[in-house]
Amino acid sequence: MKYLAYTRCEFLRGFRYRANYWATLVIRSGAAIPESSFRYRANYWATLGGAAILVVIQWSLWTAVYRNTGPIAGISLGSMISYAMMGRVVSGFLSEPVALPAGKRIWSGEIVHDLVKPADLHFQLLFQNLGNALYKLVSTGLPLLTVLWSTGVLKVPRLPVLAVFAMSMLMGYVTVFSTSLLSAVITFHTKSRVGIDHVYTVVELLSGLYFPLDFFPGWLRRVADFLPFKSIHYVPLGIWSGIIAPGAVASSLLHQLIWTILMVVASRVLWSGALRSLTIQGG
Amino acid sequence: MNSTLMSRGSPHASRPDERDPVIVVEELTRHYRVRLDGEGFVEKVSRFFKPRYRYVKALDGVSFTIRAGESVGYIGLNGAGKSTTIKILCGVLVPTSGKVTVLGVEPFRHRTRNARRIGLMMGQRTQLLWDLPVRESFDLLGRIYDLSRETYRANRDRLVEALGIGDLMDTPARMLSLGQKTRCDLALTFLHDPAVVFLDEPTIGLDILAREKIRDFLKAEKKRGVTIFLASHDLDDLEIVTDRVMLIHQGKILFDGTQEELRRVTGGSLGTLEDTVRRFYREAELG
Ligand SMILES: Nc1ncnc2c1ncn2[C@@H]1O[C@H](COP(=O)(O)OP(=O)(O)OP(=O)(O)O)[C@@H](O)[C@H]1O
Ligand SMILES: [Mg+2]
Repeated sequence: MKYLAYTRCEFLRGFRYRANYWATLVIRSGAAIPESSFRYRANYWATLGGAAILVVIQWSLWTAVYRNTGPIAGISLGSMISYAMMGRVVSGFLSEPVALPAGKRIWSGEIVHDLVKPADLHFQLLFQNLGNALYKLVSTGLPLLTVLWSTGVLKVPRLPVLAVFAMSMLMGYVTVFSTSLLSAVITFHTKSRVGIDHVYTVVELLSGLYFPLDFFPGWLRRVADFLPFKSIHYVPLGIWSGIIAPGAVASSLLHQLIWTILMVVASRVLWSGALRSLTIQGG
Repeated sequence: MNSTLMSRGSPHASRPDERDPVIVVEELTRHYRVRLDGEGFVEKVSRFFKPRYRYVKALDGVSFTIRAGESVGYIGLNGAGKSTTIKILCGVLVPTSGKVTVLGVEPFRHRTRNARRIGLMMGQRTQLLWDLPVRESFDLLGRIYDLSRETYRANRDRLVEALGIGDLMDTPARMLSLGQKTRCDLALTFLHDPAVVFLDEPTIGLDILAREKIRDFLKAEKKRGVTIFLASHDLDDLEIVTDRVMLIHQGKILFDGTQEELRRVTGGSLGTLEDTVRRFYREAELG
């Protein structure tokens, strides 16, 4: 699978800055540290710190909400904490790939180099971003998970559940990538991001990023259940936390699978169209 | 592709006009549509709803044939249409009309198939992975082009040696100087044994010694039988590396022949290629 080479490069790229920081420090001891490598390292700690603060806030929030009530919408405090905490752990992996390099490269003309490779551009991007997502998972998700697990805040489910969760999360990744590629194509046509950003906030809500879909009013729940976006957070986290009952897991996975395929096909068709107009108009 | 390249052996084995055509271009035109921006507020707004366009004829009936093992210099003033030609030959730009085949296929219809057998280097745009050590860029391409481990190693080591970039392999690309980056980019362009390479201003911004190294390298690759299509404003590059020159002006080919022939038509046998080309422009009253 040659496309995994792209994944590897993007994964390594994430770690590069940190390693680089130490290298420059050793080589240039005494001399000024290049500002950029310092920034990247600072960036890493800021990300980790930010994630930790969000974890604490969410934990306090849900504990406070549940203090005087029983289960809300049939969800116990334990499941809710599990959903929210694990949501923080995988949030990097499942976040919108803002670094979707296609847009930037189209305008700078560097896309020419990607186009003259014997590789499909859509898959190049998909696998490249997977590397970046995995980097976020390993660099911030994993430390967070370790802390939450060792302090007993988060319980890790049994292996079969874990395997299903991993599969579901991977489909979630493909869905979030396709959604973002679609919005990149729209941006390409409208040449402006205004609007897309607002739409994306709604997508995040419908995906179950902030809370499980069970909290929605009936009509919104039906809308969210139909749309592909619940594939991004709700299904994987619901499986992890048990909010999706074991009996409903199979149908949720099927929903994910169908939508994942549809989203890949849809984003691919529109993306190829944008690319064609690029080679026809000239770049 | 590689095997046919090798079996042909030295490019001097047969006369150039008997070898297989690698690039065939017939009556190629390419127009760009440029949207006109109005003057003043009212016109700007009305043009938004009812756009008006200006058409630029970047290529205007270009025809030529390039055979295996030839090295061709592409000369033209800024905006003459050099980069447009190269983009079309690489399949990243669709022609407006005309016929183009590279190694028997139409590049824009079979972009990825074409990509396997060609190499492209653009002097202004690096293809190195910006944040990673140079080695990783080589590894990535080795996998993308499905090179066997042996071929990959052999090619990489040969190119690293020829371009003297051994010491740079573990440096992240963003830390390299322009000349170092260019040499790495050039090595990447030749990594997969392309049958034909397109070089668009490869020596832009380089010092005398760096240019010399690159010319030596290109001469060696030419000896190995690689077809070279080189566009450059540094006519010394072209004089040393290429046998044949094509002169394009406002999308039309004005001259196509050997360097000696160009000297003959401009009525002088002395001076550099640059002097000759300058004479050519003066006589044609194009300057
Ligand atoms: N994307 C584009 N949209 C509109 N016009 C373009 C576009 N690209 C090139 N052109 C125009 O087409 C003509 C040929 O451009 P091209 O880039 O092929 O020139 P060139 O010979 O490579 O020039 P240079 O020596 O400056 O690199 C120019 O007049 C240029 O302005
Ligand atoms: Mg150019």
